[in-house]
Order: sequence, then C-alpha cells, then structure tokens
Amino acid sequence: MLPLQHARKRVRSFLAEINRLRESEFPYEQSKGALALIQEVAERHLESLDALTDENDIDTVINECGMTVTFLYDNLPFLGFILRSTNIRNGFEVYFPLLRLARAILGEDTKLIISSEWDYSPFIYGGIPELPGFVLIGLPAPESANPLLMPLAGHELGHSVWIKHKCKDIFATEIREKILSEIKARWTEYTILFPGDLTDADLETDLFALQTWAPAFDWAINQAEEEFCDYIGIAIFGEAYLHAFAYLLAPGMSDERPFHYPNMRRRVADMKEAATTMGVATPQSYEQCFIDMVEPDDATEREKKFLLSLADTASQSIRSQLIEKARTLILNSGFIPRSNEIIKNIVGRFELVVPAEDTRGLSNILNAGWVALNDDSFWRKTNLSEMKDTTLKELILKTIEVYEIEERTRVSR
Amino acid sequence: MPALIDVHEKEILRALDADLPFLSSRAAIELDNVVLGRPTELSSVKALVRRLSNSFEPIHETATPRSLMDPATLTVVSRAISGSQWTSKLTTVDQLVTEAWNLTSSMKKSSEDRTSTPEKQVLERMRDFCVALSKCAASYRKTIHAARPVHRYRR
Repeated sequence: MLPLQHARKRVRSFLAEINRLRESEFPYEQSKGALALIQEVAERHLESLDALTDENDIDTVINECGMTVTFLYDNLPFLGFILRSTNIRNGFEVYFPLLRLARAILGEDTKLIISSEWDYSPFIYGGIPELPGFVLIGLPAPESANPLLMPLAGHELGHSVWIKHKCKDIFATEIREKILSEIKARWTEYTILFPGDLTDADLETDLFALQTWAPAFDWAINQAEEEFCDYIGIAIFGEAYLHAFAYLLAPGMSDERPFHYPNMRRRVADMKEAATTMGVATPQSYEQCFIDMVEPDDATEREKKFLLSLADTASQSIRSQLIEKARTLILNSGFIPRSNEIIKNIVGRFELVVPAEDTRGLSNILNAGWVALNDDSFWRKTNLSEMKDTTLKELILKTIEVYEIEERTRVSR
Repeated sequence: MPALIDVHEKEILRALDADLPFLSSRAAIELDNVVLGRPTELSSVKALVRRLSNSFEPIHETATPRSLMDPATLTVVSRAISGSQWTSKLTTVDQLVTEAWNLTSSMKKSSEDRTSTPEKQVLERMRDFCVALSKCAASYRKTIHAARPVHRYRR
C-alpha cells in the first residue's frame, strides 16, 4: 500500500535527521534530552506503521498514515528550534538564571530550552505530549541577546503555569455561564445570526445550538490564558515587564486582531489594573502608547463579530480573578519578589560602570537595567552616553553572570 | 515538586488535547488487530476508555457529567459518533451523553474482559468510532486555531 510505504519512509528520514542533529554541540544537556524524547516517539510511530499489513482495515491504516504527517508537521519545527538553541546568537548568560526562575515557579523537574528564532513575537512551545516538562521559549533573533527583553519570558512561562495549575478547568464554568447569559441577553441578535427553531433553553441541550457558541467559548478561554500570562509576567518582573512589552509591541499593528487575545488597548488597560493591584508602577501615559487592531467587519463578518464580542465579554468578566490567581500563584511559589532597595543598589553600581553583586535574582537586575535606560541623565556627564544602550546591555549580562556564580557557590557551600 | 506537565494525568477527554488524535488512531489499530485475531495489547484503548469514562460517566441523576463543561468536546464526540454510524443522528446533549456512555461501556468491557470477545461487528464499530474521533479531534483543533497563523503548540 503506497501511503503506508511513504509513511514509513518519511518517519525513517525524520529519525535520520535526529541522528544527525545529535552530533551537534549543545551548550546545555536539555536540548539533547529533548531530541532523545522526540526520537523515542518517532520510533514508536514507526513500530506502529511496521506492524500494519494489507489485512488491516483501510480507513484505520490511512488515518494512522495521516497521523504521522501530523506528527512530523508538529515535531519538525522542534528539531529546528533545538538546532537554533545552539546558535551563538543566543544570550547564554541568561539561560541558567532563567532556568532557576522557571524551576522556582514551575517545579524542579522543569526543563528549559531557549532559542533565537526568526519570528518577531516571542513565543513558547508548551504542553507538548512528546516533551513532558519541557518549556521551549523562542525570542526574536534581533533581540535574543538583549537582556532588557528577558521579562517577556515571564509571559511565556505563564502558559506553563496555566497548564500546570489547570487554570482552564478553574475558569471554564464561569466563562461558559457568562457566554450563555450574554446570548440570552442578546437573543434577537443571536436568532438572526443563527436562525433555527431554538429557544434559549436549547443553548445547553441542543447539539446544533451548542456548536453555534462553542468557538466563543474557546476564544474566551484563550484570551483568559493570554491575559493571565501578562499578569504572571508583571508578578515576576514588575515594571520591567511593562517596559519590555512596550519596547517590542507598541503601538501595535493595523492587522485584523487575533481572536485569542483581547484587543490591544483593553489588554494594556487590564495590565495596568494588574500592575496597580500588585504594587507595580505603570509608566506615564502607558495606555496612550498603544492602538487597537482592526475588529471583524460589521457587514461581512457579523457572526464572527458577534461570537468575538461574547468571548471578549466573558474573558473580561473574570479579569480580577485572573489577576488574583497570577499574583497568589507567584507569591506562594517561593519566588523572591524584586526589591526596590536592591534595584537602587544595582543602579548605583551601573552608574560606576561595574557589574553589581548580591542582586538576588533576574528581576532585580532587569528592573535596574530599565531604570538606567529610562533615566536621560544616566552617564550624561561621561563619554559613555553615546554608547549607553550597548554598554548597559553588557553590564546587565555581566551582572547576570555574577549572580549565577553567586548562586552556584551559595549552593555548593 | 511534581513534573511540570504530566500528560498521563489527563484523564478527562478534551477535544483540544494535542495527543487525542494520536491516541484515538492507536486505539483504532488495536481494535482492528483484535478484529483480525492478532494478539494485541489494548493500552491505547484502555487510556481512551479512561478519558471517556471520566467525561461521560453519569455520576447520579442530578449531577452534570464533567464533559458538559466543554462545548468543544461535546461537538467533537458528537461528530465522531455520527461519523462512525454508531447510532442514528444525535440532536440533543442528553442523547449524546447516553450514546457516548454506551459506547464507552462497550469499549471498557472489550478491553477488560478478553475472554468474551464481542461480535466482530461491534468491534468494527468501536474501531470506526476511534478513527472518526481521531479525525474530528484533529480537524476541530485546526478550525479553532485557524485564526492563529502559527504552530499548534504555540501559545
């Protein structure tokens, strides 16, 4: 059977590629470990394909062949990611402090791979069945060695926190109830968009009715997760997260808005509320730095627009709970919050153009970096002012190295 | 501290779980091998049955099965049941929950009691359900994430 033969061959090619990649030089063991796990799963796929014969049911065989395409489609980017994690473009100084931070929040078994990627937006691969416990964080290549943007990794770690603490299960009921109550409140609009012989009692019992609002439910859950991740970023990195977010994204793009995020200005307003709740100062006129993306068209995308408005309302309704959940999870994780006094000391050391000691964590160092960067008078009277950005980034990276050495010697004592 | 993500902990059927299409496909192969009279481990069938049981088992008359919390899962399971001709057209959630539970019970019996193999026709219908579930879960995931021009594990 041709599809079966092809399926076997392409999985073998994939395995051969893994073997080639395993010959690379890896800066830390976890990249190699990830390759070994993916290899195991690919071998299981091959065993499964090898056991199939012409006697097996054709639909079952064809489906399994299709699943290997899906497997390869999903996993090939991981191989590329792992390969790029070896690139010297990465800021390796940050790796171990970030791993320590991830383990403080997510548990000692957490495995981290960071890579310089060719996507502008930072992202995470998480919840990968083939790689349990792994967090893969991609940072945009032009900024991957820029320590000032490292707070954005806080958002990406937030996705793993969301999964670990089963936050979807916690908030699903409330989101579902809000969507249903919204539909009932806008019943005429709903019945025009989804005509049928339905009553509001059918919304939860009729399978057709259920399918009409299911996308709104999924989008609302996704929006809640993304907002939660912003709040985790703020809880870990404080002001530095807000600065890094604005650096990378402000004012935003003019594309149609993605449905799995709230629109930009609401997102930023919610971040500001979270910051206030957590005692984090929002930069002046922060909200004015951002613009909204384009909403679906009123005339041609009415159904989509309606469902999206349900999702927006539902995710917005649990905003305060999401903030509180993020705040308490980080507080109870044992993560040591940033200290204004330590930040001030680090800024003082930076002023003298020397790396700081006794910094007690990435958050203090990165916040000090942003304080220095945003201070127009910093180094003004020196010959460093023209090279402020470059010198400051180098100082931050050196300080991160000092912190790492301090941590290692502290543990060994 | 526990591992970050223990995929084996996921005992509830969730339409958007990334491994559901693969698990269902493996379960279909195992059931097909039983149809063919081959010696077969039914580990994937058992894993799928665990998830279905935890989602559709009636707790008591007034309680809501856990699956009802998630419209995506109901949508995918109803499409899989209809697509596999397990039963005639389903129109209500009650019908779906009843049929999903009947199907789960049959699969559970087949995976636990290997001495009394069910009729070939019943095994084939269970296998077809697993194939349909694999396809429906994969396609639903694609639909929901269509608005994101990215990899499906990217968040």
